[in-house]
Amino acid sequence: MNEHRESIIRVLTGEADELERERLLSRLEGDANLRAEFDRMQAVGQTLSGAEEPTFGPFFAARVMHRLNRERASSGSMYESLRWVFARVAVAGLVASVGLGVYNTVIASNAEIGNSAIESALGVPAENLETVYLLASE
Amino acid sequence: MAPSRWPGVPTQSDEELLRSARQGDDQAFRVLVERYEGQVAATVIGMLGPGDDAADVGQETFIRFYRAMGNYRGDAKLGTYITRIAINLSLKALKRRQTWVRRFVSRDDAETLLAEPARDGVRDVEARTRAELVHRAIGALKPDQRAVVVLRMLEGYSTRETAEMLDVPQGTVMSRLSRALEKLEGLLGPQLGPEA
Repeated sequence: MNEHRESIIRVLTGEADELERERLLSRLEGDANLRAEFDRMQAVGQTLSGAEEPTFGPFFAARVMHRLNRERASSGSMYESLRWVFARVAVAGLVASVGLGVYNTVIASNAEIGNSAIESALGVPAENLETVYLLASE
Repeated sequence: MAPSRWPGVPTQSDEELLRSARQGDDQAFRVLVERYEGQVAATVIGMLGPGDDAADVGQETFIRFYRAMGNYRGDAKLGTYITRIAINLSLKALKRRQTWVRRFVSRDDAETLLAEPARDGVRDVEARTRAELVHRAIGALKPDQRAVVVLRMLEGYSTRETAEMLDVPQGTVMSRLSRALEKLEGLLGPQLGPEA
């Protein structure tokens, strides 16, 4: 980048130190082209900073809070919906497990299988190593 | 920190408001929004021009800030932190706008659309305010140059702060600013200067 222009920008934006400012000002006195460039840059800067401050219009904060509340409500209701579904799935699963256990126990007692109560409830087959050997040898 | 709106009423500091907002105090967050609304408006409207698009990005800036409040550690000033969110969202919005224009608008119309930020269709140059002229000129800059002009010239951030916010070296900020000012000089033309 043009070294002079960089210096001009620093001076116009207030970032140049005293030495740089003095150096540029003395150069401007002896260089008409540089002076013209400085004036043009200064004019651009003044036009930009002189522009009316933009705003989002009235009630902006209220609109932000309304949107925030809406987003919080929608994310909250989704969480509640999922909780409702999972609670019911959990209860249904528990009832099904107990029902299946009772059913297996009843079946096992009717068939007079010599399983323990837990094996019966879980529906574990009655075969043991001895019965399997007997079945294999038939 | 902005002074209190009501004489005699003590102004809470950003830190105090932030602490309350983190604990779920919506009123404290609202005060922060009101405090930084102008700064965000200058950034977003400077980048996108006035209109619904800018207002939407402005709201989104504060929503993102609300979600990220827990991550703010106070390394940068709160205003800088929020402005950084605003400038990033504005750059994304500009990218979306350019993609949309490239897909759906002819090349001739695209140049006009990209150069002019969204605004009602008044064509009479004489009737435009200086602010509109400035927005129009800034809207004609490339997004990276636009971001530098908005942060450095309109918002008054230092070159170092601007470089940090845009995640580029300071030299890049200066070169983008130089090119942008050169272009603005041509675009603003006769409107240049404080008395124009």
